[in-house]
Amino acid sequence: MSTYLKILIFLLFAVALALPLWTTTTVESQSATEAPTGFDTLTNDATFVSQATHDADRDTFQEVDEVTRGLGPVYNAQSCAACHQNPVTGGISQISELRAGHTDGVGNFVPATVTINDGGGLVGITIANRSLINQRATCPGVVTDVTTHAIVYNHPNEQAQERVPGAETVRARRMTTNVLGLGFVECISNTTLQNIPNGQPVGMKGELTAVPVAEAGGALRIGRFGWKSQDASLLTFSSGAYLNEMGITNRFNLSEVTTLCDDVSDTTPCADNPSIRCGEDPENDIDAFARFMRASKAPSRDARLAATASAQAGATLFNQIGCNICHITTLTTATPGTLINGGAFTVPNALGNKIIHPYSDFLLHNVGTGDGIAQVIDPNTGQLDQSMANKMRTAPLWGMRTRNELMHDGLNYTRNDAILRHAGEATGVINSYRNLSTTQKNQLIDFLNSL
Amino acid sequence: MVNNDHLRRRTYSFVTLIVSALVIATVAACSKSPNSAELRPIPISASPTSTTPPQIPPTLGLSKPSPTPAAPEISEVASAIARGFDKSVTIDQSHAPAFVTGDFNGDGSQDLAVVTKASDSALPEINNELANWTLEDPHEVPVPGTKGADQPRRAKPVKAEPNDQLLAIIHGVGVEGWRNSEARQTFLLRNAVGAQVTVQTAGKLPESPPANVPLRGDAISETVNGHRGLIFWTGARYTWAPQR
Repeated sequence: MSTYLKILIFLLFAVALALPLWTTTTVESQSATEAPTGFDTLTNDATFVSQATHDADRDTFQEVDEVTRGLGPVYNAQSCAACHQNPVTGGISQISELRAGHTDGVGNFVPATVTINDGGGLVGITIANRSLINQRATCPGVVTDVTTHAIVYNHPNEQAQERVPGAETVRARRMTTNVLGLGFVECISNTTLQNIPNGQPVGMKGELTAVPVAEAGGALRIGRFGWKSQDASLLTFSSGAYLNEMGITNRFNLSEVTTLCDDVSDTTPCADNPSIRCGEDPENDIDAFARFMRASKAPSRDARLAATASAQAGATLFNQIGCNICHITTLTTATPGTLINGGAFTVPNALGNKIIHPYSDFLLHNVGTGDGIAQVIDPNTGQLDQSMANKMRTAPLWGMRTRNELMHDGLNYTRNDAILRHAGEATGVINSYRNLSTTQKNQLIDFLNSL
Repeated sequence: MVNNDHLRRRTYSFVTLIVSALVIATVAACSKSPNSAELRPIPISASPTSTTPPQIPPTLGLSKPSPTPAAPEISEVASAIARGFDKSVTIDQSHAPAFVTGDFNGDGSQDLAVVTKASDSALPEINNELANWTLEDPHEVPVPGTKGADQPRRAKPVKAEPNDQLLAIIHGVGVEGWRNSEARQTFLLRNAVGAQVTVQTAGKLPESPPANVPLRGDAISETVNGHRGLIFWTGARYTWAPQR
């Protein structure tokens, strides 16, 4: 056999071996498919998260926590599902959270300082520099065990309830958001979000946030979750919500808002790794929360209404008058295998290369509805980014038909009122809406009601 | 022996060929790792939205204080009312003052409040649920941060009635304020036309302000149905807070 023939065989053999490994990712990057949708409790891909695991995770998401398991001392609800449920677990609800603060002499927002347990001339305990005002508290409270009837929590005299001080005159409500389909949103690459403003007209360019990913040691990523796009990863989001909405410390948030009438240790090690502290979440429920959201389907449309001529005409109008500049209709997630969240998560096949229709750019805009609350830390200064105080994240409109109370604060009750409330960057778009005939407005609203 | 040596050499060459090919194939495959990391966020300081000057056109200057605008002419006010409300309402010039200006929503742009009368024939249009303005009664809108603020006080929508005086408010846009042709965010307020009307600047309320009213902009102070109070923007709607 000639030397040349040997080399040729050798190269062909090598290429034949390598080719399948090369082509796998190339094919994936070229074949984005529609993300599964549905208001149901089915996993979005059983090869990613089995139905049994998804059901168990949903159970954890719905689990009602008690004081003996770390609830409070200040909190808003006893379970995730208490605020994220309509029409199925993970959806929206009518529940809102309360935030407060004030502006200083130069107009900067300062988060509220609240004093608790100060009745009867007591000095009290200060909860400082926190805009979230929890609506509930575990004390005063005495709790008995339902089986033994023995007292298991005994704080009849402490007063942990937060009350908004009169001087904190910036007050705002924030409606709870849908978390279904957020795994797809998490898998939108930074680049995709960073490119969005390039396609938006001058005066309407969305503002990006760069926020820390707790599980990646604080590595920055483009924010996309929450009304201020203050979170980028679902695990970070779960950790923050577990502490702030339910008062349960966990491995990324080990400090209570207040220790008044708090009986459960915040130094308990994790059940699966005693070298790490998990606080009041030794079983790492936050991982189950994140996995539940990642395995959920995106909100589906009302297929019958969407198929009507009116809703289809409304969809055309939605784009024609420019609603889709910020309420972006279609985004595609990153390629499977892409490392995201600062390298802490790899985009799985179930979530990668998926086409979604969130009707949002996940960026911050000033449409005249800002609540005046600065919430995102500027990574350059370590201070609150005041430029975002009057900006809100573009509300994703998928699943909008499940809501009655509209906009971030739920203060608009009709679609028309909510549309007319848009001003600022949206002035031109909304004036185009005003120019529509009554028939066209109804078509547009039919379209919105199909989402 | 010769045949055995030849066979051994050929076997050795074949094995070497296969091993080399495997090594090269592995290197080639690894050179394109399927786990490519997403690009890290560009530094915020280099963000196009934070390093470039604010890309807001002059007509949409949202937070820049506007220069002191000229005193309104009645013809300008009439023009603004026509633009915002078509022919549904007209200025009630019998009321003094018939209009006041201020930055009611606190966006740095001058707004206009005008006492108007609705023509009876226009009531269906004024009360149309898809009208281009928001019709509300400030007395029915809760003050933010107060008990029950998250609950609407009134289940049925506000309706204008014959001979109603309505306070029409036009939110300004940019440095031109309410004079800007884009200024079409409008409100019609029932039970909001009163006596001794003044505009009170946010943070400088001279007379017995209600405790800790969360003002976002200027407030209209007036006496309605014998009660002194403030009409102010909550961020979503106009509300009323009594003054002592």
